[in-house]
Amino acid sequence: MAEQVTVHRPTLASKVGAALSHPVVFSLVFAFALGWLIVYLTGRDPGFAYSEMVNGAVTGSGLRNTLGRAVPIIGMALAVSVAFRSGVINLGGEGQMVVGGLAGALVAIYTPGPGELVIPLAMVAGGVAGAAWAMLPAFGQTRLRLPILITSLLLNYVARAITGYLVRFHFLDDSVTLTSTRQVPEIARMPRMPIFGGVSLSLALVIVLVAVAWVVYGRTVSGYETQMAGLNGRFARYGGIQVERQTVGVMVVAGTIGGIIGTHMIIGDAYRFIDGELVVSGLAWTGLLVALLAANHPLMILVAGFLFSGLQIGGLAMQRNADVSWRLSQVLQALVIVAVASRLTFGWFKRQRTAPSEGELEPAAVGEV
Amino acid sequence: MIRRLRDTGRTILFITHKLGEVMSLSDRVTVLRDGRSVADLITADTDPEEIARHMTGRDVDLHQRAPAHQPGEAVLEVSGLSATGEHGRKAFREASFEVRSGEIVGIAGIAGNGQNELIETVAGLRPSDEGSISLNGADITDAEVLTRRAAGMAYVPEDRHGVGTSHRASVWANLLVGHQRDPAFQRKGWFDLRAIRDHARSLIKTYGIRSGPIGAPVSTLSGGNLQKVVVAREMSHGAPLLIAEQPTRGLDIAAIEFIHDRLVRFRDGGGAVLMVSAELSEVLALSSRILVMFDGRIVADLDPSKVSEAGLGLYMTGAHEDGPDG
Repeated sequence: MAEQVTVHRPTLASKVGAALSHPVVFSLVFAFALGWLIVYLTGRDPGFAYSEMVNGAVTGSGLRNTLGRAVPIIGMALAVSVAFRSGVINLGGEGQMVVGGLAGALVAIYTPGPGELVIPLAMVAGGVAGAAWAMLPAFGQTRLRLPILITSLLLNYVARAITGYLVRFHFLDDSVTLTSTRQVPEIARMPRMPIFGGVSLSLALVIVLVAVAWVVYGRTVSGYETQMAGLNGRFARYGGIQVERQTVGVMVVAGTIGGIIGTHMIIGDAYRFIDGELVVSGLAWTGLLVALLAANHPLMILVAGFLFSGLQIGGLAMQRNADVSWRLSQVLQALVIVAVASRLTFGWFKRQRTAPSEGELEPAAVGEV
Repeated sequence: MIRRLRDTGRTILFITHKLGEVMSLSDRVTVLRDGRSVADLITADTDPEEIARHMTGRDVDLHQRAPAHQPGEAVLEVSGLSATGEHGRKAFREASFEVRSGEIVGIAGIAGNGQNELIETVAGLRPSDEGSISLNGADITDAEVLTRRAAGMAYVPEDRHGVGTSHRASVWANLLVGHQRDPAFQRKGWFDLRAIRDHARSLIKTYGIRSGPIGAPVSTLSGGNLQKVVVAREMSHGAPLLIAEQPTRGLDIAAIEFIHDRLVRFRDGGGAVLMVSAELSEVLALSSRILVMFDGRIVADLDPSKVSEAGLGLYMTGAHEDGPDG
């Protein structure tokens, strides 16, 4: 018995090997190793660049910025994951964020009253607008059989155009050279929490949203039914799950989250709705990458969201201090996703030489009770 | 084809679990069980029972098991039912039949003659064009799947990989589906996880499902155990009607015997079974009545004790419909 224990005790090498077999761990190692090589080939010191990146992401105002940027990244990742996990390919996060952002901004700017009232009202308005926008592709799919994948993506451009028009011709602030609304009055801005040098209260909000998603998926009938639809639509229909009706509900939830995040970006970050800014920031797409990396798992989204946010903020510091372009951060993000998407693992290299093994024991997509 | 190859002097190694194929094709049989060769037989000197005994390590009864009682009340009544198939063609028309408690009604037919669509329509996965379906006297023609299930319908679908189970979902999630809204498992939308887990564990035990932890994906199970998951789930809620579509396709003989045994016990307990199978021997061995489908119609209602496999095959090709000589 004792002998068996010693025999089966994993060595350090086997532990490292096991960790590298995990696709997410492997893809991170893979991306940073390739990034190392790229920096080295440009004649800079990769070790110094990486240490500046880490320092820039977690020290001083860098930490505050990392946490701040994590809000929209995590939020948009959650919005995407809610749809993806249910098998709804919603690529309209950007449009839902933009439409919700403008609606929230207008309510915050033009509603008189105390912040305790105006801020929640703006959030609700943003959420409702985002949900309404998301319902267009949802009904397109359930009523007209237009694939959400296409319509939600194309509606992003429509959202950009409509909000741009509204800002330019109806809500323009003439006092600045930007195509922008007026500023959100101080009283209607999202308050900051007295931690890490002042982090937006929205951070607490997205963490709560993530926790809610986690509970819904683990403990409720709706969470179970949406996941079953996402894993196997025919099985779900066979099991009495009304996939069409569910699609609309899922899009409403995703759009609501997108709209709330859009509103946060105005009343908690930029303080004015500038035409195109939410699009150029690419936040919705970073969120999508995070959802992919996290395999749509709420808690993993939290981790991956902070990681990508730190990469982006740290990348700026790396550029300042180590003279390596911040675009390395984007390269790293892309490499991570390429590795995850192609299910590249340490085992993959081994399998190239042996036969592919079937029935590897991955954790079930649903059922970690 | 294979016989012709043999006659040209080639050596053929034929691997199957279908006894009929073994008996008709092979000259010698080697039986493997649990990774060991347990028997080496001359086909001409043996019979299916002996091979089955070697395969399972015990006696196997492959013959008709007569019902213990006379059939009772009608559980499922289908009348004048028609539905449209994938390409806008009528998949089947004017189907009328009933399945009574304590009987197994088999549907035989060559694939593509409307059986699949008929079952889908009865199960609520395909809308009907006309006609009616009633279950225990309640009209369920247009009812949703969960309503049908609550009214007492259980359904073992033909495609156990694509429809009957969800590979990446866990064992417990697979054992739950169709009953996720039952009051036993949830209250106001919140799962009673303990009840769900206990239910899953008791099914695994009762049905002898060889499974790892109930949180592991169901894809880690073998084909036979996967079908046991489906059968266990469908039989565990005391539904009076069981629809079983190709219940033993692709399974080894031990799993086939297990599932046949369960179907017979279900029938003897007063259940009504509507079974579709491409295995004529299965239809003949288990059914109390056999409905034959050809070109979207039910063309015959036969007594299995009065028809042979060959005779049944003739009905399936529509020969009897065209005239006595076909």
